[in-house]
Amino acid sequence: MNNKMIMMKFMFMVIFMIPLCLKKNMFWLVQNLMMLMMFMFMNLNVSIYYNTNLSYMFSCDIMSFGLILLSIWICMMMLMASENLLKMKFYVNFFLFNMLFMLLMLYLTFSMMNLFMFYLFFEGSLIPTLLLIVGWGYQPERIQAGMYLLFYTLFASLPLLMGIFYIFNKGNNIMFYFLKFMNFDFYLLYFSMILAFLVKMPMYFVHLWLPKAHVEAPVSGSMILAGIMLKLGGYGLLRILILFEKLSLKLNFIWIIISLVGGFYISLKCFCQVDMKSLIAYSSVCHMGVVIGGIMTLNYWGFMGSYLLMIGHGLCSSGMFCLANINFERLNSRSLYINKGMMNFMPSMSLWWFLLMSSNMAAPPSLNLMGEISLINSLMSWSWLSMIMLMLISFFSAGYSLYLYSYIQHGKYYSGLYSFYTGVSREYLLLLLHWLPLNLMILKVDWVMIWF
Amino acid sequence: MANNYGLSDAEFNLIKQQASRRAELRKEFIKQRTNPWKHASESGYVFDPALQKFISMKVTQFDNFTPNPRTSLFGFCAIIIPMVSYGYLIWNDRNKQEQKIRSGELRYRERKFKFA
Repeated sequence: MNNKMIMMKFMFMVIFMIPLCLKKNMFWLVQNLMMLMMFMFMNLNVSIYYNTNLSYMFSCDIMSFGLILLSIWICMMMLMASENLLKMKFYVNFFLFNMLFMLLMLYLTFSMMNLFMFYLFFEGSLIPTLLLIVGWGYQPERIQAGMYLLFYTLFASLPLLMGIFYIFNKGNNIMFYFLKFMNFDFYLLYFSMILAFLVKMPMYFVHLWLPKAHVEAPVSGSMILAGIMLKLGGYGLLRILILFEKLSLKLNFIWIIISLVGGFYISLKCFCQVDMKSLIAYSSVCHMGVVIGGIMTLNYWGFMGSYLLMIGHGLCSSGMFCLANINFERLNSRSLYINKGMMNFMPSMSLWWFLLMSSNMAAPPSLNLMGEISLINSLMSWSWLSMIMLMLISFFSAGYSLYLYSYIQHGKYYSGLYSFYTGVSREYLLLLLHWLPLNLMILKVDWVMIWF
Repeated sequence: MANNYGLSDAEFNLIKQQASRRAELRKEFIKQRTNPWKHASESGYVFDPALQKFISMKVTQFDNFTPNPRTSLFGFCAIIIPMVSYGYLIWNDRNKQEQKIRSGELRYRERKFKFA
């Protein structure tokens, strides 16, 4: 508590890891250092009532603490999942630099107290994502995917920048902590500020970049996109909606309806997918639709449930992309018709498929369950008619999770396979690290559910 | 009835043609599947052009989309109308509740979800 630089030391840790990646054979060292950073960061004194660990421009409250933990964890696991690059020696140093830059940007995004700095790093984290997709992706379609990702997000976030300048002009201050004293009754400001986060989340009508970006990205890109980048939108919404209390009470029903009905359509669309990663990407949109619904109700349950579901979904989706990549590395195909009957080859991997799929459909005892229960509570308390869409979304999300699991695991394997090798312990460790927080943290949710 | 199976000539010829085509495809598949000199880095499975065409079709579905009256009608009826009608129902329900609360018809202690 006497140390004024508590948060800054993590930023410096990441910055000083960057010269490390110019040396040879630093891959696993950087990964282990990220794990060390995770354990160091967990020991911060974080209070659930206040912004703690204030430093020059950093702060740490419950929301940012959890999401920074998630981002360090996922960045660490990204390195573990990308061992293929090491074997192929495919620009490993640049990849490490990219990873560290991404971690730095994400850490700064979540820990800044200032709305403008948050925006700066929010946009800054797009650059390493774009480099990952275009540099290490697998198909030529990745260029189009990179363009979609970049331009969807940038187009929507320019009005956000203008809005931040306007708020600074009128309110003379843009610290998150003081936003609650300002109130803007300005329709254009409302739309321009939240559009950026809705595109990032993504909401139904502006979700087109997500399946493309997820499918074309390498495993590390998919993990970080599903794990954290979507939650940037949620985090932004959680911080900013307080500025527009009166206006959001009037207008939020639009976003809730679009995301709920859209989530239903997307969960139907999941059944039509042929590509494993595409299915997981659409399931992400479906979950985030429910999260947007929960945030927009402005309930306490809604904020809590959306935060929980964001963390749970980050771990779960990232784990599923790891699983899809495990299959892809062996068979060089993501198609469901080729990746079937995997239980015949890797019965131990079936365990992980099952655990992560069951968490995806919000089966107990996962964090997703807690988040979805809270969100269902929040949306039902907002209006009982949302029950229809929530029923359909929950049912079909269980449906497509089971569909994916049973298609990939059960049945006869594709007869045209040449060869296959069983799971490597690194892969099992990776999946264990995804699953363990997801299914064990439910024992301590009171720490997350008792805010302010 | 030149065969012992009780089939007509045409049927018998047809079945023979199908069987020979199947045998050719099977021979080709087994040849590719058991080729000891294939490059493992190409793909982990026997390349099937039909499967590839199907996957490519799925991937390029959006690129080949051209709006016409049929698709616009589908988009309108299946997406816009449910959203707007559902939204209208919810908006109405919430407005009625708000009216009741503001006019005092629904008392504070009878309100549901006060602590949400």
